[in-house]
Amino acid sequence: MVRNKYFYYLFLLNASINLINYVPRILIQDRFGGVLMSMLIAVPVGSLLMYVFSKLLQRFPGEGLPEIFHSVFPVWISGFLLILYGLAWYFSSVITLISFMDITSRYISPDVSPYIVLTGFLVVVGLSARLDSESLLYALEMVLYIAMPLIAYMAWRVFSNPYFSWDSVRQIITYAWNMPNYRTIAAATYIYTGYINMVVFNRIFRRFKMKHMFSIILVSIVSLFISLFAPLGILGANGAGEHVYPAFSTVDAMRIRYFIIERMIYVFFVVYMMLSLMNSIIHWHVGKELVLGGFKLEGEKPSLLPKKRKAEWWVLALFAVIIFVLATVINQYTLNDMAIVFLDVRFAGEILLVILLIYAAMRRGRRRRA
Amino acid sequence: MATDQKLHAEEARKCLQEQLKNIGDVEQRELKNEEGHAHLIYLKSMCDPILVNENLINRFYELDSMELFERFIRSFPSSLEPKDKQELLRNMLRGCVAIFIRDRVLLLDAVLVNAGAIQPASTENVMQGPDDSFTENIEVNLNMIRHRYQTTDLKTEFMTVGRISQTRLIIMYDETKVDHSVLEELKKRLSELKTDIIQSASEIERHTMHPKLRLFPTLMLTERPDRAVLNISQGKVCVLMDSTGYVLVLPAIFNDFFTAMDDKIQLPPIGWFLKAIRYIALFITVMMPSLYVAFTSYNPEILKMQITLLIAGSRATVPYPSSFEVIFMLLAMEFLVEASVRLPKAVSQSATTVGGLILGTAATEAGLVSNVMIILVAAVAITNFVIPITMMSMGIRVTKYVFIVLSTFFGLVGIVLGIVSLIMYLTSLRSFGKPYLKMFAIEWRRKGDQQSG
Repeated sequence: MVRNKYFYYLFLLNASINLINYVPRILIQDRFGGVLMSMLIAVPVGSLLMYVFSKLLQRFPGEGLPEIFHSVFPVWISGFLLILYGLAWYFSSVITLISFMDITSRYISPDVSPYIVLTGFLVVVGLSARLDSESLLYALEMVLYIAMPLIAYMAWRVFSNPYFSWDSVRQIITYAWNMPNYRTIAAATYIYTGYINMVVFNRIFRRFKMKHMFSIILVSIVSLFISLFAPLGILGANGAGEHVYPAFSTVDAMRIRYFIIERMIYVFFVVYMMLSLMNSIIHWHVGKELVLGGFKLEGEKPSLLPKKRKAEWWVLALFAVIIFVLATVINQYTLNDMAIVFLDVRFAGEILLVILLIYAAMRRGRRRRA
Repeated sequence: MATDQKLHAEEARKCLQEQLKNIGDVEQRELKNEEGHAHLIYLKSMCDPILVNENLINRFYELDSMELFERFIRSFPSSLEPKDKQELLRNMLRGCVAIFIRDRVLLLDAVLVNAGAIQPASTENVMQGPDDSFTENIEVNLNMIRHRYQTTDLKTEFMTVGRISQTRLIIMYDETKVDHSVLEELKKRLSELKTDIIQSASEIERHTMHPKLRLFPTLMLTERPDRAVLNISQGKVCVLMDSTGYVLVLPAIFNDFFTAMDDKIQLPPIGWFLKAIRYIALFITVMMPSLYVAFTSYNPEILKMQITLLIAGSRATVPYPSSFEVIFMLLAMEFLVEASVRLPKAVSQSATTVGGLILGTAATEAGLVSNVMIILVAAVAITNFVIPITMMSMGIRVTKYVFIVLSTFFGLVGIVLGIVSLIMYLTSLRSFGKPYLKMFAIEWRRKGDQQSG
């Protein structure tokens, strides 16, 4: 059983990983459109979804999504839904891993074959995703405590940079009254999405309860602000749109003066590689549990455990093979399109999930009363 | 039924003499007076002759009746009446005297204790503070802990393990503070132990912990009574073992292995500083060699220009890639460390001098290794010894080679992969149900609803 603080870590992980998952790029593409208005809408919408979701989960103490779905839906509907959600959630890690492989071969080690790097990623992620949920949360905590101070330091360096153009920021603010659009809202709400992991991790929480809504909203506003304005200020209002990985290009312009490391990008790379591996591990874990739950192999029931252990390998191998094949066939443009599609679908899927949970809670409530 | 269980004296004696036929140090004595006679059989090497003479032989001739003598022997708490031949034989091998009076067989514990004097701790040194270390005698160790922890809550349970060695164990814990699930689990695992000989506490850790193949210890071995007492007061369980100077402490988590007793002796801020130093040392000893490989072979542009040039300049004469250089030098260092442990004290000094100073200087001057490399190897070696518990520092010693291999193949990416997998591996370990690596590990010692893990 773990304490509530781990919920905030799950949120924080997604809030910080958005820089890799094309969120800044989508926001920046809309910079002369309604990005500010979309962000303004995304904050209440995202936090509301999160709030409702966590309130709903309190009605199902110690249960994961498979247990909840199986108890209220017929087997074939819940199985279908679970596999769908599992694969969708796994898909988020596809984007993270492939884009990070791309980043590695582009910025860090062009002389190592990207497929070897990817293999390394997949081995670590695949083996780690098999661990139990509790260990993953402890590891997540460690990684975040290593990463967060460095992220704060880098953000501070970006915004205190003498070459940071506040004029670009002001220029974008003049577009504040433009109409928002769905794609940007969907992208901006990605930072709240960490709560989705609770569909599996709820199993090990003891009396899960969400407080500190205020700090979650604050952190999300700060992180949205950083992911939009840091690239704009450093790369220029116009120039920021030209980059595939705006966050990386931004940090690449920084240097550290008083340490043995010269360029900030290496610190950023190390931090974000740890975060994206952690992110992928957690998403694989959740995806795997949901898919296995779809085949009615849920939880830690001793009777199912040997069968589950065996099935687990197949699911994880499938996950790895899909990523490897995708990495060989898709290029940067399709990856970007995939990311956009994923972010759009994810937002709709999240709303659907909350609605399904409301339905499940109602069914459960009626059954209890009856 | 009760009479059936009693051992037949005459038969038992015959059997015993049969069993102990070729054992040279068996002593048999016939004691006779007008009342009757008694027969003593014991192993001379295991029994205390003064005890035997004072308590058995002298008394026999002082006390008039056999009845009185038997009652006298039975009054000893360590005397017992064996139920069968196995029990008789086992206790004799342990150091009991078998006494045959009339038709009874009695056993009296007369084990000869060869306890060395209490020595100062040799592997866990502290600057200021108690200096005693555990001895190889379990009673003396028990005494040392009881002296420092004077409450009736301190419970002791006796056990034996090992089919042949019959090693005695004492499980010690504070009843009010201990986690009973840990205790149950420990007893279960100890009773499942199926090994002939158990000679050291680390064998117990090897046989009881899962998974079998581990790089990091999940039980702590300590030779300091003050550490054992501190841990008992924190709700842990200690396992004392006969004939080793070490005590097992469990459950042990990662952070415990970076705690020296100095931390408690010094003022708190100094204690925190010392602990921070150890974690920095951990980082340096694991990461430095692999970072060197990554920086020189994959990403020289990471470092500041001056440092890159410095390293490149000092590596100018070195004829092979940096990974080979690192592995050669580290292996040389390992050889030196091993040699100085194994060699007799008189020679080990000169081995270190010749190996470390003369060869090191010569290798750099010949251009086989770079100057920077020598500094690095020295730093790695020194920082490795900062870790206070030997078992952990051995685990760390091996870990750095894994990192070197990763950085040889993947560069910086490999190091980050290594860090993530190391964190994953450590967090997945459990020591008797307690998470091994966890931020703010202190939490679980606090009891109550806040407890997690």
